[in-house]
Amino acid sequence: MSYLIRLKNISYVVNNKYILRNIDYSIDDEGVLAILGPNGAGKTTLLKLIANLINPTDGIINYNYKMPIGFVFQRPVLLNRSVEDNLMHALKYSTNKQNKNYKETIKNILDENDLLHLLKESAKKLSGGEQQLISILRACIIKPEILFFDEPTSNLDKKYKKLIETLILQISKKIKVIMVSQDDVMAKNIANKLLFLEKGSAID
Amino acid sequence: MLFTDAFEIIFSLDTKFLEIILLSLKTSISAVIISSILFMPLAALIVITNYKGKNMTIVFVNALMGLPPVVVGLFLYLILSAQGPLAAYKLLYTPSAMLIAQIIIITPIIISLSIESIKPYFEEYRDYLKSISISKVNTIKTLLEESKNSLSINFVAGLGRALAEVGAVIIVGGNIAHQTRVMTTSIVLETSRGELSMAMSLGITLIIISILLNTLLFIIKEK
Repeated sequence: MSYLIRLKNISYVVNNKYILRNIDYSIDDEGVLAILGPNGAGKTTLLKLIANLINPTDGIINYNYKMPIGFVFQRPVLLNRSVEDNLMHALKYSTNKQNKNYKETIKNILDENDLLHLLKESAKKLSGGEQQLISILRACIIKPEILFFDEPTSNLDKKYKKLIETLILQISKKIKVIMVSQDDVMAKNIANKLLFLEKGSAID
Repeated sequence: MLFTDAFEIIFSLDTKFLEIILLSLKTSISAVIISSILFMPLAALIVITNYKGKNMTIVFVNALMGLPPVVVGLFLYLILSAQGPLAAYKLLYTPSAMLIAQIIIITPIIISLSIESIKPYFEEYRDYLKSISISKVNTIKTLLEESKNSLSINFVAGLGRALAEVGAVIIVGGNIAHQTRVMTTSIVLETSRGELSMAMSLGITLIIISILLNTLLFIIKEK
């Protein structure tokens, strides 16, 4: 088993306040890692550091994966265009070049997840749950080496929580998944490794 | 009486009157299109790039919004006149000179407003765009597409400013009949000649265009 990401003495400081402090951790390339902890523990910041979206104030991170990555945000971040064009945007502009048959790829992924009826719908007008499902598919469609989820079900009702939990489980069989969650039960259902944070420090 | 005469000129669609309005619209619309095509992407580039002096650039561009048009006209006159470095192009007293003047005057407005329009979209999409490892050019393209409603408002605001411009345009255009006479310069001339009906008809037309532009702005904002 090889390491995908190695964090060496990582700290992250904003306005002289430590969000994360002296974190040493290695992440392997298999299974699902869930980062758990209370509000304000620094989970999202740690996830963004691991995803190479922000840089640490102190310490070194060794990334053993290539961009692009898939990142699913707590609040869906979709472009103000149709579902098809959102998926097209990721496919066309991601550095992970797919085959050029974009429309077919989009139809297939939506069809596999029973969401083909949303193809031409305006993404921003969908329900929260549907938007989150589309966000996940957009993250997957570029075939990233690694997928990040930042509390993907925190604002959703039971029906979509279940749907997304099942989808993440399916995805994790093919792609390395790192997720942040406040829902301990869900995280323990999906993840095979847990990292607990409290007040910006990792605890055993 | 004055208003009746003014409306008579408007409704008669007098050739001289139409010629002035068309030239005004042609130069102003061209100036805003050129400025938007060249400088809206630059505004996006400023938003997405972190560099030393970025805040100074924004302060400088904002300061240029208050550039006195007559001073722009004077500098442009010196550059384009017979003794100026661009004399060979014979642009002085042509619609092209007026176009250049208008571009110089509205560009800081276009850049400054566009920076403010694009910024919130970049804040919203920054992490997503970084995650898919998108190129700088495509980041700019995405942000321009996403902020197109706000940018249309900037376009209309720029057009309003260009149409209202008189100081620089009269210096470098010369207000020559059938060549460089636009609505604002014509109003100045007709008022000084005592031809108040003609001046008033152009003034009313300018106000109508302004109301139409503001209606368009309102519609875009409501969308």
